[in-house]
Amino acid sequence: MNHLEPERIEEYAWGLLGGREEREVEAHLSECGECARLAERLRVEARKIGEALAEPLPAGLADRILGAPKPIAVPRRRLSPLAGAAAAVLFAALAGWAWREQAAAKDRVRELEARLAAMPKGPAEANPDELVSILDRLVDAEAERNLADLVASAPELDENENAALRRAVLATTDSTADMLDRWFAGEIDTDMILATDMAAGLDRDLAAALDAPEYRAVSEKLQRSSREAASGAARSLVRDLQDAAGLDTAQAAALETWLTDQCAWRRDLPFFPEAARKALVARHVAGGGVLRKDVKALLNEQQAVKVLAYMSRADEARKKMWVDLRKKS
Amino acid sequence: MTQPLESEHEKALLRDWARGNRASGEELLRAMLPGIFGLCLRMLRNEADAQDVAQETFARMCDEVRKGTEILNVKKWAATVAMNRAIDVTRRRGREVELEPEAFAAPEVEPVDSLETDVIRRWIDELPQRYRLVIHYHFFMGLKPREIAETMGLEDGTARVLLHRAVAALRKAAGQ
Repeated sequence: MNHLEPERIEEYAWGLLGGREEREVEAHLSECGECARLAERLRVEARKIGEALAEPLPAGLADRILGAPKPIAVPRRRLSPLAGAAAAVLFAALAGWAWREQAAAKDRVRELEARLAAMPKGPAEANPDELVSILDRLVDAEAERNLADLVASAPELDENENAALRRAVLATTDSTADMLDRWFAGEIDTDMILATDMAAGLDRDLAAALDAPEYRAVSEKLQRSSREAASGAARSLVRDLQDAAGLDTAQAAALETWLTDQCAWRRDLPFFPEAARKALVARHVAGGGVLRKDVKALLNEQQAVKVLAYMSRADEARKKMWVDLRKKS
Repeated sequence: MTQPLESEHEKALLRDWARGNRASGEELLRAMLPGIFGLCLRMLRNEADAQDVAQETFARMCDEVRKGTEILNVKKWAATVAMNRAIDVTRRRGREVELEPEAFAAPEVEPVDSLETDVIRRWIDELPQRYRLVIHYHFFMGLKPREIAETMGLEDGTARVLLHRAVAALRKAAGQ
């Protein structure tokens, strides 16, 4: 009896043959003991090779990539902008809201930022309760101010649409604040899945809540706000480190553009105070190994080291501040 | 041992994730991680570098999902991204990218089915890079020759031949 070519039996054992070819081989194997034994050995070999290739994953790698929280000893303090009864009151107060509230919200932000700037530097000297209270209210006020801007840009929204817009934005800022809390507490290293979900989630919620023309108006405004927020934070960060890292004008501009592009898609950025925005943008550079190599491509070796060190310190300082606040609250 | 994802299941997870279901995204990434990390480790032979490249690959995937890019074959896409990134890392570190090994005159067909898996693993690690890769692509990640060819920038037929040669080289090394 003629035997099959060994390579053909290999391809059969490896699942590479289709329909007719596979049936032909099977027909032969059913009649030829020698080829059938070889096929069986090749199947076992293929299985063992697969098993041999399985590498143990480094501990925590999946969680680090996905941003899953590690177990914590310190109870998490939620920095959520608005909740429960407060939100209900605001929903009810929506009629005739826009122009009046924009001016009032801007004033509130300015007042709170001034109080924050006047406080003693560093969590050790500051009154922790007052600091926490101001920061909490600043997040709320910033969210309100930007929400007011957003609503003002789409004056055709009716009461239900206004309410839906508020819910969508506040759900997003809630999630970001939560995530920020966990970042600064060192519970998660990355937020890839969460951030992707958030960006898509806000757009999705708006599309579901608003009619097409209103959705387009609000969405465009949000896109512009996000880009402005990212650009402002990027400019501020680059200004802070330009001299220290010895960046020339072209490098500073390129770094600013790159940072902006990395974060402009974050629809949650406009709803956070400047300090938090800078932290989020710095995080993209400092966090994980992912973006470091891209930054390095823009700069020479010494500059890259200084920029990364600055971003990590900015990140670390804020992380420490939030951890200290949580312990004291 | 991780089984290669059924392609219909992974397509469904990807579709779900693109529609905003975070849990599907997590499930997909967790299922793909062993294959991609193993690939990076095979290419780079350095755990820290392999972790970085795996993380970058998944970051890219999240970006593309967020932008609404249609990814037709996610395993092949991820393998291609990871491989290209790993080549960049190798070049930047000044290491030589390994050349095509010489052809073997006659393929060995004496299978290594009687060897222990850790022995087989050690011999796989000794193989030239291209052979290690093609063995990983097929026997661990379940890619077919056409997918392997597209990932490695080869002709379909070349990928198939490479697979045969790789296994023959493994058997020859282990049999010595």
